[in-house]
Amino acid sequence: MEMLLRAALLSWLASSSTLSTTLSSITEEKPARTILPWLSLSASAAIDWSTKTEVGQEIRIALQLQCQGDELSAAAALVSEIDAQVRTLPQAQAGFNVTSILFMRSRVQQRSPTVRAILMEYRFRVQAA
Amino acid sequence: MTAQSGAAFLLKISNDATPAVYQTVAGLRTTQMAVAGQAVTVTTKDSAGWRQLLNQGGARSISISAAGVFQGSAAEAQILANSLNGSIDNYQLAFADGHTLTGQFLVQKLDYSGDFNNERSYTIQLESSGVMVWA
Repeated sequence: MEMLLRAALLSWLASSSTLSTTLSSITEEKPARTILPWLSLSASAAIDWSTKTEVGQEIRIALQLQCQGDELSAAAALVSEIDAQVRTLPQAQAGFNVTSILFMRSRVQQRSPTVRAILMEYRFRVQAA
Repeated sequence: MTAQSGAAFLLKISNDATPAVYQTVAGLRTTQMAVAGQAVTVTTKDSAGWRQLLNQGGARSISISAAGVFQGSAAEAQILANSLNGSIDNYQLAFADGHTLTGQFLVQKLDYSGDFNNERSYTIQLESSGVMVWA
């Protein structure tokens, strides 16, 4: 279900008209060559979250956003848009159902005077459909 | 003798058909069963200062408690209806080695809970009524 969730999340993020027009790319891997800002899925990890009758997983996925600009508020608006999109991932997905979504933590790093890297980690609890 | 999986220790509820078909209560993570027997004291002055109990004198009862993640299944809906109506219904515990315990139970307590950032969960407390059949 981890791979299915990664695919569903990527597709859902790309379906946002705001994100798809603001970001130069939304990919699973860090893009080799693209202009800023871009969003990619970083590492994910899954543990068992089953019941006696349902197969379930707790999956943690980190999203990495790299953006450029002098204004911090521009990056903040982008982060809010990504966060809102992640939290509204539809419950019913192909092969699994999303039970809950929880924001875990984020980390912001300034890599050059105008480039910032933002890591956002979420916890998804999912059950096989 | 082999160790048994707790995952196969299931709570089931009858669909009230004839013959009864027991459907598993979905989403459970924990199932517990406790057998209680009342002690009937028959101690006399001749008991040499030690308590004596009557063989098979007290009433026996079985309590079942279970907890899990709410799934919205038909079995869960039936348990909710039983708890609201105070109805006694037929339940069955199934064990990994194929044994079953079948009998009538009252839903003494049904708790739902849901944290803002987690799933909806529930706990059930059942109390037996009448003869229990171990098979």
